[in-house]
Amino acid sequence: MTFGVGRPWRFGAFANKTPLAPSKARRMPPSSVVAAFTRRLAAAGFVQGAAWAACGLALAVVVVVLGGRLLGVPAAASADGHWLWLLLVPIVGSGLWRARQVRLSPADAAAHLDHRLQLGGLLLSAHEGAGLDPAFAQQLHEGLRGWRTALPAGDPLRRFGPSLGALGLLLLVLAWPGDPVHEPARAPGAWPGALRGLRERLAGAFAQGLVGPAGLAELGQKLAALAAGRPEDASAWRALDALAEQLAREQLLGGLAPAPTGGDEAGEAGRSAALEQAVERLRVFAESDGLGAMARRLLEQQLADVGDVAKDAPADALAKLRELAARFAGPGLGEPPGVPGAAADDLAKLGGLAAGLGKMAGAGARSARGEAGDGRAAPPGGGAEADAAEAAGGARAARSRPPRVHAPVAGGAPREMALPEGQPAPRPWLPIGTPAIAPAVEPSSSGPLGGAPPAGAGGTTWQLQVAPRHHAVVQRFFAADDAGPTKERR
Amino acid sequence: MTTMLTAPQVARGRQLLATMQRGCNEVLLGQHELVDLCVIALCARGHILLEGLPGLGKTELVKALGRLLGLAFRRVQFTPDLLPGDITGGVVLQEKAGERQFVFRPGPLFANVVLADEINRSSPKTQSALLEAMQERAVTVLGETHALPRPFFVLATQNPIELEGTYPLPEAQLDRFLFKVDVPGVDADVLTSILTTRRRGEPPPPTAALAAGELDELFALVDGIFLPTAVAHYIARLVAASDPAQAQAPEAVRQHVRFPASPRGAIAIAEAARAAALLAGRPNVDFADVQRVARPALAHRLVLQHRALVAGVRPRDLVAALLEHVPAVGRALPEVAR
Repeated sequence: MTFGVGRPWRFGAFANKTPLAPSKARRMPPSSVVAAFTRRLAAAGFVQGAAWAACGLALAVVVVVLGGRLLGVPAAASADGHWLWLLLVPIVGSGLWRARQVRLSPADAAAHLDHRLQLGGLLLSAHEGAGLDPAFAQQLHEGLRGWRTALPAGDPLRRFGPSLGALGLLLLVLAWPGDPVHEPARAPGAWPGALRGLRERLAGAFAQGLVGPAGLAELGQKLAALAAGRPEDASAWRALDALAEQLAREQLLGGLAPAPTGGDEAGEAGRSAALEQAVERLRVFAESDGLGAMARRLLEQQLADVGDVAKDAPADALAKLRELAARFAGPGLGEPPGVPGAAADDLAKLGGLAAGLGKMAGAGARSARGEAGDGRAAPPGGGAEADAAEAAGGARAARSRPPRVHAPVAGGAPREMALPEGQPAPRPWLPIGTPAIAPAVEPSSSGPLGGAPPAGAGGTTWQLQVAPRHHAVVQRFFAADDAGPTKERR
Repeated sequence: MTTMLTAPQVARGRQLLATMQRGCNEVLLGQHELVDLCVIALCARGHILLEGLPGLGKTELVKALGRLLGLAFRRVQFTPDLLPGDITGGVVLQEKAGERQFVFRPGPLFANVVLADEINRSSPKTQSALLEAMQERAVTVLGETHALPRPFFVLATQNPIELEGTYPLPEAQLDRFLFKVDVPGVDADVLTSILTTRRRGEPPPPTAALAAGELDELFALVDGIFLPTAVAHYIARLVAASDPAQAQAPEAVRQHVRFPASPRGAIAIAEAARAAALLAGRPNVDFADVQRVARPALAHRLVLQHRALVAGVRPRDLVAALLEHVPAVGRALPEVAR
């Protein structure tokens, strides 16, 4: 029997544009249909994988942002969503992975198409290279027209609903403002002013001698680096705060350092008279009823300090003191000040001046003792005496208003010192100094090799070679009150 | 490149098959599915085992088939005292021209269509005499092998009741049957037609449906049916899933099947599917053809557990579970939205 009836149709006939079909209508070759089906399937897989990843990532980000806000993490509180584009990388990766996973081989795709379109195996046969009769080829072509309906259908809401919901939740969380308490928003316009203020503080501290040239260079360099930063970045503001803290620390340490010696002693008699006059006016004012009881006590204490230590005060300090006295008492003695708030501020200034004068007085005393010992070797306890004098001055100044810190003193116990004027007390955890403590070493020599063990060491020597679970047995065997090994063996 | 059947060839095949269907349906009323399966099995050159209650027309169907095909037809009534020599034939001492010589006298197996009626009533020895005939289409007697006529079909019947004194067919012999078909009963309308059209239930005399040579043409057309690789893979997975030790076997198979179908079962499905494809007017086998013939081709090849037999589990239900469990395409279509 022969099968030569009719002209066989080949799978690649349409691809080669061989006019085998009776119909002149444009036909899509089965191989192209199979390829298109595979591509559509891969594209759908890509979308599905991307949707899965978007759903998972969105939920994860929502959990992280909400958790961070609850726990007070500043980065979570300020999350505004401009970094969302970073999520595209895992989303696209997941889509590609899913597309690769669902991609079918051409044979499987042809089998699915044939089965779902009920082509009766014609597409399978054509795909495997069997020659189809033109009538069957036409039948196959008719069946392949609706190949798009063979794609697996699904409920879009069920498939993409969770992803869209998660993304919506993420956008809602990001749109909802975080707690501004944890990270106060600062206007970018405040940045130049803050930089300028810090620069002025640095210059003032250098002018006052609280910051040395090395500190000025270091802090100036950091300040210049900060000036190049972005004011909208929160980290720049944090760096600015840290630099301000460092400057305050330098000022504090510079204020605690010993003041330079020397001073002008000319006109000492006139200054003493003016000082006594100013102190007297203040004392008269303190005895009047112009102030409250507490303010009066403070003023009396500070006047006592000033009276004790201000004899060596320079001219400018004396001028300040006189100005303060004039402001307290006015031109006429006994007149109360007009504004109580101003009196309180002036009291603070008076306290600071008294503390400064006390420090300068201590430095003057050290300088005087140094001149007295000129040409001779300095006594071993000279520094300690100076410290003691300074401590005495500080003890007097400790009665004034400014807060105090415990400054480390080499070779001695920490002592209380007054902070400079306007300097707030440092936070309790701010380290000012850390004394180094050398480890205590107690070397012990081992016993002679092969010799008798030292007394008391034999009990541990044999234990090193006996398993711990046998210790009790060995101890019973060698016990001093034991009769001997034969008894154990029994 | 494989050349497939042309449309006129397929149409010719359908015409021949339709002739056989029409002739059988005239004899056996209301049993279209049974007739189709028998026609498919004959086109696939396979043997058929019909199982059903008495009086359902099994023997009449087989007789009609023999006559429709225009082939030599023999009927053997299997009884417990039937011996192998009674069906295969034997050697007799014959005197010719004054000489005595042994001459082989062929038995009833030497026909194109053999009706083995109530095959389970004969002894296993006699049943086993059919093994070689069914598989090799030859008979060996006293060391001499005699070829059976081509084509050769064994159409056996058996009764599911009255099991006393019967010998169930061994699995080896069951495996030789392409199909085991359960003959269903008929409804009242069919009974009415039988009563009104036939006197004493006798069917009309069939005429020889196929002319000489047409059966060979039909066999050639069936052989020209193309079996795609994907469909062959489906058949292989279907048979492999009948093994309870396989991971892809459904739970029902794991619980109830003791021994799976043999590779001969897969071959039987493939051959029967070719005939079914031609019957459906296709030049190639489709998944639907496999699913149509899988049940009668696989059910009798599954050896069930004893507890499954006691519980009344039917093999055809297990095949249905197989068809439901094994997807047509090996790699399932991923669930993605359009």
